Amino acid sequence: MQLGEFLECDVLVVGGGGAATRAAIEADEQGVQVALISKGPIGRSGATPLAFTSYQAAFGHSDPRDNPRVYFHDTVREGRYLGDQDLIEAMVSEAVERALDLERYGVKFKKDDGQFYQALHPGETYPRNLLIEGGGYAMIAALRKELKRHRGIRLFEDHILTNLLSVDGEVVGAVALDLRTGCCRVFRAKAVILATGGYHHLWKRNDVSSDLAGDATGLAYEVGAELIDMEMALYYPTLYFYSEYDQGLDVVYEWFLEERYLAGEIVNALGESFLPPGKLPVRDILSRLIFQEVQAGRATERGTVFMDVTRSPKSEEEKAKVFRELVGGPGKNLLNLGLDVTRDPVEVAPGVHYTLGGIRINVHGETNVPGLYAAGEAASNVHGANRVSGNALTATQVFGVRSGRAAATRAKGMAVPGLPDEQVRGEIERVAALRQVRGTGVRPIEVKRELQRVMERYVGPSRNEEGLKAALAAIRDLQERCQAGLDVVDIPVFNNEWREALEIGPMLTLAEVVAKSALLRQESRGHHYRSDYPETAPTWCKHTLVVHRGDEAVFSTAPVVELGHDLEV
Amino acid sequence: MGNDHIVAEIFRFWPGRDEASRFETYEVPCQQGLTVLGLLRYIYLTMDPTLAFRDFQCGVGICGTCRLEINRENKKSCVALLQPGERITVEPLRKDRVIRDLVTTFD
Repeated sequence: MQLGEFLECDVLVVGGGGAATRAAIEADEQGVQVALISKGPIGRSGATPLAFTSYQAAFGHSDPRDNPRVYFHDTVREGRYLGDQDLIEAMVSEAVERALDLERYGVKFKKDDGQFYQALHPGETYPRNLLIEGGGYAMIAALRKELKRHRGIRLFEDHILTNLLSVDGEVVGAVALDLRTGCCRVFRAKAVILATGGYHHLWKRNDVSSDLAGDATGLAYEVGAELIDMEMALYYPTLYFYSEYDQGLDVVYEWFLEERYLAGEIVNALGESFLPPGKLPVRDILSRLIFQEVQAGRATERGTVFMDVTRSPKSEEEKAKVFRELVGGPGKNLLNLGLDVTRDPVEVAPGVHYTLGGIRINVHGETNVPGLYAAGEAASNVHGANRVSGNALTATQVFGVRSGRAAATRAKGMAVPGLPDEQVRGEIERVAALRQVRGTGVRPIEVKRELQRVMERYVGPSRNEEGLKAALAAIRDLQERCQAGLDVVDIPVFNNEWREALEIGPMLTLAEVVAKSALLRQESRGHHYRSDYPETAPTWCKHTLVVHRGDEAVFSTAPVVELGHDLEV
Repeated sequence: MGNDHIVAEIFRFWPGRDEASRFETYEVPCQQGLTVLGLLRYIYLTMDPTLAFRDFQCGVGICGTCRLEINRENKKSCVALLQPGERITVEPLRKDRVIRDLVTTFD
């Protein structure tokens, strides 16, 4: 393999979504040299293009009673008291300023007479969600333009991080593989910011782009970064899948099931309704109810149930009218399902929509590893055991700026670190050696799909000790299969198999950590449900932590950061 | 080839290595609800690991990363549903910017 290129920068940002682009812009504005690597093209990969329209900020325009204090309380409570309150305080205090930055970059928010229009979403005391015209896709498009206006920032798209370089416990750079050429780029950096998104693709069912595999989080863990609350994955209950080769589409269940919309029913494979009477359950509870149908053998063989509006008491005419209003507005994608949803039952299953756990940060986006920062979905734990709608995008901007600023400050106060030559050489050789057919018959994608099935089955919306232990045994088997060597076609240019071979190691490491964290938390809280510990335990209002020391995963717990604010408002 | 199959002719080209582009034909059992992107993933998974295509997608017809020329029409492959028995051609939108096969730059 060609050796590739050596580059030097002050701050290296990894990622191509809202947090990464905002971190790069901030670091550049602080006057340091910035480089950014992204696994896919910016705006065409990661989670931000997929985000709904919501950005939470307490402007108090739609209801003057709203303010950052109420926003703080809502976020703490809806996160089931597991979010670190210093991080929440930072988010609620700076959400407004960061929204105004976005507006300056060209993001268009829905407005009424010059005031922000703010929608009320579940979990909010007062209407607080700004609506971005064009959603996350428009937001990342504007950020990309702003990024390009900062001409000093060097962009490397279609580059996958293969490893972080560290000397004496400090991160001093990184190695990336240029997927377009098959050459490695070696970055010497005073600080590295990981804004690489979540780890949704550890599970078979999710609704995000397949670059969100958690591989960078796994690499951070391997250089000593503490991971926090990794068991916390937020499920969306009703995803529709074209086939087993496609990621899920969110089908908003309120539209199908609520009285004021289509008033249909959700039924299992036997045609039985399984919702308790009364109010429609919120996301985590509905996900669990569906999953319990799967576990009880009352779902389809694909592990799905149906939303059926033929059982609605509404007339065909009424339903058609509601449907027209939906597809003319927020429900445009209902037209893409290839079904007539007013007649055909829609087959759905819960899937991972957001990962709440991640790399542990403080308010500056610093990790416990000097030189390593994290922001956005990769960082944790801002949201706790459940995230309120609109807080994902807000967190990308607030912690993007904070990590960018802190990394720049570090860079200004130090000389460029020397590179660990042997580590660099070893890494380049490792990456090159992955690209060969060894004849073991094991392809990375097969290991990945098997891992996803295991996680789906045992580490889903309802977990228990027996299942989690079965998951761990299965993950160990997969690790052993990988150790025998993988078969990877020998093509340097845009070789998906090579990229997947790089991802699978850290994915398996991370999956093990997720299952062990879920085993450690012997309670149910938010989106983590243990059927053997169904209650929320006050003694478990604390974080699970894991750090890689020597060759071992060391698990512990830590108190939630509390600020002592009166939480009764 | 029965009605339950799809015949896909897919553009293959590695600039700098291949003298010219070509079409490769794959016969794929059609499952219900298969999209063109799903078809590419199926081929990559079960038939041909050398096929290059962009796998990172929003999957809901928003981001446009998956746009390809399908039967000579510019379409979003992630929401383009296939019918059993169909015969299709799949090509990149901009052949002057091909990195390999269906992968192009967006610069």
